[in-house]
Amino acid sequence: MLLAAAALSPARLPAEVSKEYQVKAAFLYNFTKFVEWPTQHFAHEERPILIGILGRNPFGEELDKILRGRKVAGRELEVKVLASPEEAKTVDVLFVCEGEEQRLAGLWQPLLKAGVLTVGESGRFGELGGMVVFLLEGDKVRFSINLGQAEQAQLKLSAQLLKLATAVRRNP
Amino acid sequence: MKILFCKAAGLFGGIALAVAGLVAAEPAEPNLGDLSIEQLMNESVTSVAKKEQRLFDAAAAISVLSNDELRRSGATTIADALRLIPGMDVGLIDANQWAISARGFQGLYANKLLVLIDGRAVYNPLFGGVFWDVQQVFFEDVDRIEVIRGPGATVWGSNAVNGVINVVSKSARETQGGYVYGAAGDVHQVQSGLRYGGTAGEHGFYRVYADYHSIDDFPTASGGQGGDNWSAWQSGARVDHYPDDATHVTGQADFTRVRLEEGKSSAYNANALGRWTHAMPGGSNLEVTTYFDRSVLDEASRVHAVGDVFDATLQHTLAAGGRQEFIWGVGYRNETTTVRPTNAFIALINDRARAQIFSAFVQDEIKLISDRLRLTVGSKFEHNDFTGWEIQPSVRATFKLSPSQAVWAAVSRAVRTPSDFEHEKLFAVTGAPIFVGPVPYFTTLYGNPAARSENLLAYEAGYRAQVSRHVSVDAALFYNQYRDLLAAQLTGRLFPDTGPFPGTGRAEQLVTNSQSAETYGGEFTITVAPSDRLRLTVSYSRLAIQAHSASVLDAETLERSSPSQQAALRCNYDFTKRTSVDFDVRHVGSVLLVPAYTTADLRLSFRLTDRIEGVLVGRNLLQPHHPEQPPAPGPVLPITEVPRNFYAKLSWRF
Repeated sequence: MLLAAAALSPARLPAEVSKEYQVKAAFLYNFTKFVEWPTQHFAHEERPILIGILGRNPFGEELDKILRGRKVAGRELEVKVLASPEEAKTVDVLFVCEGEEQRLAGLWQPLLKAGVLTVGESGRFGELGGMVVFLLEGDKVRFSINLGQAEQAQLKLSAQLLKLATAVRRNP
Repeated sequence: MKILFCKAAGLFGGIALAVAGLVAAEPAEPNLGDLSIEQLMNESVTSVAKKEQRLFDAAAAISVLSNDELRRSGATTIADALRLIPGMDVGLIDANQWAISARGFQGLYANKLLVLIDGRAVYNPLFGGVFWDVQQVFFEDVDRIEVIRGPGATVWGSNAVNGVINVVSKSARETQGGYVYGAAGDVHQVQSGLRYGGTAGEHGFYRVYADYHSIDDFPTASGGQGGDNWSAWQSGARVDHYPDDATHVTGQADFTRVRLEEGKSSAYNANALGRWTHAMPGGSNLEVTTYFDRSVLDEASRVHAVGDVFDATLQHTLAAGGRQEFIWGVGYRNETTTVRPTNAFIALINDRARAQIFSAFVQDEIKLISDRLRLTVGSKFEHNDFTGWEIQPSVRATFKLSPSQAVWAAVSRAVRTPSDFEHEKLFAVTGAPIFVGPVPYFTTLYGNPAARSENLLAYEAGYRAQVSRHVSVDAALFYNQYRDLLAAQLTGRLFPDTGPFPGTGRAEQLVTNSQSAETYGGEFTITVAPSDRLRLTVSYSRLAIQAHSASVLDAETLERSSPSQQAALRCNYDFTKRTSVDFDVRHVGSVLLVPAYTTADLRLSFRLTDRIEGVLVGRNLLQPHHPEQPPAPGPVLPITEVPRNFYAKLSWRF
């Protein structure tokens, strides 16, 4: 009868990081492997790849744990929980929590200019111009891609990533 | 007690040293970062967003304790952890006996609450109610405890009258690797345990665990010792196998042994459960669960009882085209009980009782008005050997005022079937004497084959709101009408010269459906999380019982069985990523013979590394000791009180 129990009653905002966000954290790390930033994007060879989080950090320490000791294209990776939306321009991958989309109003163009890969988790985020949108299919995490936006930001997404996306939009 | 404490501290120190010695060689932890993006696409996640939505939409008074909340409570048993839930009535009678209910009728034999551990009902068919001492779980591996206040009989069947508690363990897949803990304290002297999880083949996972707890005597009001010390050994295993994407097979078994009162009493529980779930194309889901459970009580003060339960259920969920979700299920249950008296005050009549229960349920959930209104209609149909057919329907509705506000209401019927003792002529219990002239006639209580089920008609309503990102509110109100409540009643028949002592007689007392009651009240909770690091929860609950009984005394006993009000403040604060403090202050109103009390708990946690955590806990801090519940009926035992206590715990994950 557990299933019926689940239908009636499931967990409220768990303080522990849910499996969903553990998996999303691992996806964020993986995305950095399939994105090529323009050559002039990184100021110097040593600069780490920054993953910014806008909103209440749903990953806890999970993302730090995954990134610890790993390198992508010779660069270390770091997490930055953003204090304000303005800081979003300073990161390389931006994760926007559900409900935080509207805080990016007026920042979409600057983000494109700064070559930031924007990742969100709501339909609204996709409509506003987000590049990668997480969605749930059954109990699996999937994502869709807005290639037009990525191209405007001079980001090259690998064919492998596009192949795995549930949907690829080309219009900006 | 001092000596034991030193022993415990020695054990604790030993574990600490062992742990310290092993830190140096930390093996690599399985990390999702090691998975390829293709592998990630195949990782199952339970959809939290959807679930939160579900909780928000649920047309019932539901609370969930997550694993994190459980650990941060500092509680060492499920029973104590339930104190965190507003509206739950939790009290210790002595060190090893709890009185737990929801919305009234609290007592040792609180028989209107259904408790399930991974789908296994731990409701005792002989007495009704739960023997909490043999229901231990390995805390670290509990995923969550779901608590529904109010009836849940439409889905769970008889005896889910005042509430349902679902303890849900993590799967073996979620508990890979090792975990060991040891703790020492002044009252909770030793807590220690070990779990190890590994893989079995490409799609299989397993875990095994064992733990041991020992609890010292509680003090009596006058400062003596209660003689109620106890200890529990538990071990078990679980296997989860995923032969394909759509199928999940689980097997689990546990064995718990409890030693009470210096070995004068003991109890054990052994159970084995198997579950098969299969997701079918189109969103429907099939689940088959079967288990066997044996509980043996060997109590110096009551009886020796062996209870065997076999249970099998099938459940099918159909997503019938978006707007509807239809669930149906069937079940079979066989309960046998064998008893033998261990006490001169219990006279055996029959040594065996058996009951078979056949059940079916249907439930349909319909979304209306562009998904803003959700209507759930269903009923359980159950047939048992005692009382025949029992029908337990409910209608529930949730209306979303806005995406962040919802109201709900429900009307439901639930029954409690008579326990083996109440229904079968198993044994007679001798109680206090009444005097007819100078001659004492000892009241002698018999079960009654004509006893019918108690029934409840419950009206509930509630409101939930996510006021802002930082504030949420949950409120529930209820009005319950109980009819045919079972109570002991003197029949007026006197049997001279048959009493336990020469020259005494017996006065016959029979369990009859002679009481009724109305209860009303509500629970209110507000949660404020101003930042990621701080979370405050304030809750208040209120309960009024109006009982109708031939005897004024019986009515008062029922009316004062549960506190009329309770309030609690809980605070969780993270100083840094590695240090945190949790504390709570709770006030519990008076119950019969026991005054109201206010007390507090404090827990400090230091995570020395990602894998090692040290915890200091102080419980019931505001007074040296306080009573929570009157003693259980039966031979007079010293009235014990719940002491202030402390423990230190160290755990290591590897």
